[in-house]
Amino acid sequence: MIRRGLRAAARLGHHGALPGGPYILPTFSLVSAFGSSMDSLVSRFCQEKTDLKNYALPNASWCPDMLNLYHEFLEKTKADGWIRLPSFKSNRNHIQGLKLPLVLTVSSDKSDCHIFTRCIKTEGQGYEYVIFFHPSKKKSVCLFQPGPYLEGPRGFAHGGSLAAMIDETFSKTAYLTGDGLFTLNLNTRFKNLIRMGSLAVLNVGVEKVEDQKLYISCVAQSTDQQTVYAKASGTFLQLQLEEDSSQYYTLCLQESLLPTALPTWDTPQSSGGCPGSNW
Amino acid sequence: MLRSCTAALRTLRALRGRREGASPAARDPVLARRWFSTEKVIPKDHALPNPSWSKDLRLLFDQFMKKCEDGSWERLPSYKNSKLVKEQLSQAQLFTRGYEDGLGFEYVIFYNDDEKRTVCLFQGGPYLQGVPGFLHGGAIATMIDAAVGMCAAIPGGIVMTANLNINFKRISAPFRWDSLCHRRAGIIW
Repeated sequence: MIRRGLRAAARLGHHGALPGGPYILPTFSLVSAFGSSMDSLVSRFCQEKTDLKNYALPNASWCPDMLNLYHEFLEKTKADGWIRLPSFKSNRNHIQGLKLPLVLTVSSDKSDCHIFTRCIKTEGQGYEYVIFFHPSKKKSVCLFQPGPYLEGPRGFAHGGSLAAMIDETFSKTAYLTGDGLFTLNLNTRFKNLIRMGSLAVLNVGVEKVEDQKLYISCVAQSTDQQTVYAKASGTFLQLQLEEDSSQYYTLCLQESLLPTALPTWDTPQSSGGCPGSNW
Repeated sequence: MLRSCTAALRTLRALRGRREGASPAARDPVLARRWFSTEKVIPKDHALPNPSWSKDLRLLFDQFMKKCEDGSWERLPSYKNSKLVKEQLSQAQLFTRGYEDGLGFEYVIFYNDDEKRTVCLFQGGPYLQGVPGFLHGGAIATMIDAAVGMCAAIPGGIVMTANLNINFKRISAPFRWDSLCHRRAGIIW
């Protein structure tokens, strides 16, 4: 169990990836009593002022169904409480200023890491998707169009690509709802194949949060809701990210600010100076 | 999944070809005629070591190749496309083979016909990231689906994944999947 591994690793006192069972957690509870507020999580996640490329925007490969639904949900972001989530190349970009607990830090020189669902760069060839999130309802809708590089049976999307898209939508929803970070369980029941280039709509909702676990479900169906592609459920482990004090220290030095508000911290780790690289 | 059937049929043809000592084109005259006369298209078998493979992966690969010597185990070849002939209109390629060496899925599947069992050795690359530094759960799900699907398709014929239920135990580094077919698969709708 991931949580047993986390506690065991804390006793070992390592950090970085451990052979066989990496994790370490200090003695505090996995999620603090107050957790992270949803507003705080969402605002950090949805950085407006950024030079990063946002992949969750329409492009020429999007089919008419996808464009239409996209605009329909975009309208809902104005008044109905929906938020369009940006999608960057790596999850590191979504949580700048935060880091994994020290014991989960993995030293890596791979600066060209991509989140799995954004690894195929050519428009229309891989995952084309956008996620809309509704904080108060704890729901998400993902518009997903699989491209030819996701082929399984000829002309249809690989089942694994749909499972991955469901897991990714679960992941973002779980994180923004309540610090859900790691997938504990993913159960997917496939009903029908998705034709490549067509739209699948994933309706995701958080069922409950209990015992530091987040329970979430999904129905993937066609635009007209006549065809169900899959039903899925998942469980996520809640794990709160930490403030990246080293980044803050560097920023303070740059801005000639005195970090008087910071608690004591260890010597900031240096790993090439890339923000967010001290995971 | 039908994709499992497609992949399995390709693999079975290749296995029979290897056993009989003939290339796929030599056994299929139609296929041979359609190959370009000045160009011999030999599909690349991606289930073989390349420079991106870690020492652990190579070690396990060698161990299983030793097991293949007595015929009890077979290494399953793995190709990027379902067709050996170029098709100008199709850009499709098998999902798990659409990456440059070392960036995505590096894997090889071994099959034991007596035990109806497959073992998949899998190394995930930097394009399969989820939480920074770790593999995406969906990438792992994809690999499990591929390996288990192959296990079901080879003895069972046409199969389709009806349910995929994964309990994640630990966050991942290179690992080995061991799947065992417990029952005969059928067409499930």
